[in-house]
Amino acid sequence: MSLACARARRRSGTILIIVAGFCALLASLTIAFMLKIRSGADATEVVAQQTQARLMLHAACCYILEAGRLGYGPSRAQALAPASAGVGMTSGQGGELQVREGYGWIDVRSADLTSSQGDHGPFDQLMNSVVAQKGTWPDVGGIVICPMYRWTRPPYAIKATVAYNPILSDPAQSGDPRYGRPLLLNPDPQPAVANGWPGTVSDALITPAGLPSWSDFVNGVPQPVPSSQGTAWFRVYRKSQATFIITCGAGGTFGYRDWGEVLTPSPAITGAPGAPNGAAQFNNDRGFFDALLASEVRLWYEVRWSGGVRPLDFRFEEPKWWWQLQNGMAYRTYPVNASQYPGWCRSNKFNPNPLGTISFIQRLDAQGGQPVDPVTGPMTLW
Amino acid sequence: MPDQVRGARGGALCAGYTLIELMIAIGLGSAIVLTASASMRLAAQAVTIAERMSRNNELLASGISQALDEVDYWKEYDDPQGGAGMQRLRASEAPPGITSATGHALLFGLPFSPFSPSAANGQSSGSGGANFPAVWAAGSDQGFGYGWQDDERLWAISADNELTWWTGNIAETQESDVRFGHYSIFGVSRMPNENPVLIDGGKWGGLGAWQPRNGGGQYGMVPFGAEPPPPTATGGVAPLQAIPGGYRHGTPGWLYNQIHGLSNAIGWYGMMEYLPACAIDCYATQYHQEPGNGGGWISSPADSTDSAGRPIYLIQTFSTVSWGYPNRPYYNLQAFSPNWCPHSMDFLTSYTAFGLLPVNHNCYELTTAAQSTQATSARGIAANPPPAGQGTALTTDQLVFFHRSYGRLNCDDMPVGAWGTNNSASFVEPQYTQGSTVSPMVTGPAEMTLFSERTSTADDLLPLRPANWPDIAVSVGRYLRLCRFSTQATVRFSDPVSGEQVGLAFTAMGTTLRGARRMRLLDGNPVQ
Repeated sequence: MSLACARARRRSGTILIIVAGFCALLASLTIAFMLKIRSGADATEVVAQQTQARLMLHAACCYILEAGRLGYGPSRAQALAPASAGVGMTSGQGGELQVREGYGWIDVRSADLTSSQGDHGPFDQLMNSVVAQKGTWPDVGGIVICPMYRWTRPPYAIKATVAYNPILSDPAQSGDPRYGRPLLLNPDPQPAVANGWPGTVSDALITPAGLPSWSDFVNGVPQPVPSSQGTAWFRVYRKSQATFIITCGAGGTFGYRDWGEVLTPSPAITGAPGAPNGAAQFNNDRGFFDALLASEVRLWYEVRWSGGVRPLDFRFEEPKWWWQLQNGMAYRTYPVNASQYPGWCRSNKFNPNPLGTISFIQRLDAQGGQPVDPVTGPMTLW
Repeated sequence: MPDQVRGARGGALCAGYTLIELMIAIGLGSAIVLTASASMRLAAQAVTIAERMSRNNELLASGISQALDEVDYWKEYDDPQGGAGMQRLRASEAPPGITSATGHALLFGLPFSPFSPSAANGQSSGSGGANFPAVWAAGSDQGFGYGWQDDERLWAISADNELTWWTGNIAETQESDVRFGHYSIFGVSRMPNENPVLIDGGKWGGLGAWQPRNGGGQYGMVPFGAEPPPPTATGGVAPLQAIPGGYRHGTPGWLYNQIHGLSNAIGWYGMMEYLPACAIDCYATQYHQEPGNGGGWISSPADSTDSAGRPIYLIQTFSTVSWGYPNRPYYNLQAFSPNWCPHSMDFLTSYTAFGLLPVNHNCYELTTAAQSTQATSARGIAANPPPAGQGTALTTDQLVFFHRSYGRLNCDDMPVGAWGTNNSASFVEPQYTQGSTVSPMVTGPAEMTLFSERTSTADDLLPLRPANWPDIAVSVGRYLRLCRFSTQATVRFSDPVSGEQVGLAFTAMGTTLRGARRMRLLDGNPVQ
């Protein structure tokens, strides 16, 4: 073969090699690009999990504040039957039925525990403890697990309609007798389930879900919204009367601390998904649970509840004004919702903490998947 | 030449390219190579951009994580492993030139000052902290009520526990002659050896003592006996055990002592965080005339009053310059007890803001160019150059002042100058001034800027980065405003290559000051 021929062939091969090389480099760059994007997404995921976990701190504090007072009325099942004493209701002094509620984690009527025989409460109106079983939530030593997926429709849901009775304001409608008048033509609010309105309202009306409307309204639709499942949860342990250990989680373990607890939740735990054996929540697959646990963010906090609330008339410079207006002869504290002094009246919007206050929040370090108390070391109960 | 390489015309096959074929081949080949190389270059650029964007995102994520860590661990305020230089907020001082009228040594602490000797010693041996004196030790001159009582049952309730009752007539505490009774006597804050206690004694109505108007005068000396034991000593209260009756009834003055002690020990922000929500920030002490009129301080500047025995407005905002002590005008704090009624955070924070100073890195204590750069990065704006002579690290003296001051926010809600006989031009407020002088006062937006800079951390995460690298800085500010403790975090990113700047501002919920102190064992052993 001549030298020229060989060169021609080499030249043709060179182009092919060059192009192939470029393609290979392009492919490698593409792979590197995709890997980088993937790692960037992973880095962002950590931030999202941190944010979710902190939202759980907020949710848990709100839960603690509310659980000292609320949540001891009729269950959803009980609410389907006529109200009666003993099923989430108590009898008032006049014999009337009252929804049962707690009086705070430390009851002002029994702070020294003498009138409750050493029980810690919360107590209801009749000084009966709302704790159904000693040692379980909400008793001291009890634990509650709260997976925070979103229900398809929550219990007692109402429609998101803003104004059921808008005032006619279009001048073209000035001839309408309703023009400019605030008329209560429609109930406000209205349930999210159909109840017959604007025709005859009926509890027994069968909704598209095939349930009586009242039952459908009370129970809601508990199925999780898929995009919200497995993202966040919180867990609260009542350490003492008013001090709690909060675990904030961003991940899919539902708040179980380990696989052993999945299989056999402690009797102190309330709200464990799938109890008495939650393995089915994880496909009966320990490896799956362990993978969820490894990718989860968990933060621990110690918080304390305080019964401090703010009365609606808590603004002490107002008597000063009144004192001046009366030539220094009288003092006065404005009543709630007083309207004679525009801009000075107090209403419920001025009461930001009707259920108490969180007096401190303390982040706890973690060691081996457990919170660490700065004095006593790793905590086994949380 | 072998036959197999010859053509039909007997010539060599490889000689069959024409010029046109060659030109087309070269052209196509070049186009392919150029296209491939251009694609390669574009892909490489895209990857570079993606790499940079990814790095930027990772930096932002790091900044957010750093901000959230700071929210929980407070290291810019007090670094447990940082030694004394990074724990300046544990210091305290005896105000120079001031002596208590009753002979007690005054001691003003800072937000991380240890309450008790055990807490201070625990820090020195347990967590790498340095030794700092206890500011609220039992038996000391600052031992109001035997120190802080960390008991959830004492503080979680207010209605049932007499210890937490605030004794006084709220509706009557302004310019009152106390005609409905002198209830605050039941809650006088005092030291163990302050007995009997002189109550009231107003001489001049202009200071709010209206007793003379009704022919009054000093109420008299009231014997209280020895200081009652602290609540935990009477019943040996253990966690989850019943509280004996004496726990509730045997320690009058306990609440006022707690408020008094907190104010002195850790300043106003800390005091308001430790007290129960919506607590009334006032206490009563024995009578003593104000400094400047022949009197002196008793156990804190807040005790300067002309009508003691009635609750003192703890956060008094108006006091004349003459009441200050020489060269330290920023200690012009409180007086006018009945003239200005007791207030809660509702009032106090309606036109003011109480902040904490992150002494390890903040946007104002700029002593070096590097710190200035950090502050600039953290805030996203040019650092506000401190005036001549200012901007250096604050002394303990100044820190004590600023943790008993506030940022006054101008608003129409509180027309202070028009109230009563008070003329705002005659008074100096303990607000965020330049720190060493009273005049000129900093007001309006300038004061707000100063307040913001002093109370915001400035933390550059990449101080030694190459010049063309992006920068990431984190700032966290903590303040009390409108009845709420706020933690404001800002993450700022800047890319010198693209000029891109990103700022993320958010509030975060996390460890409170009291929680941060508990982390560091500064409160002693808690009782639950």
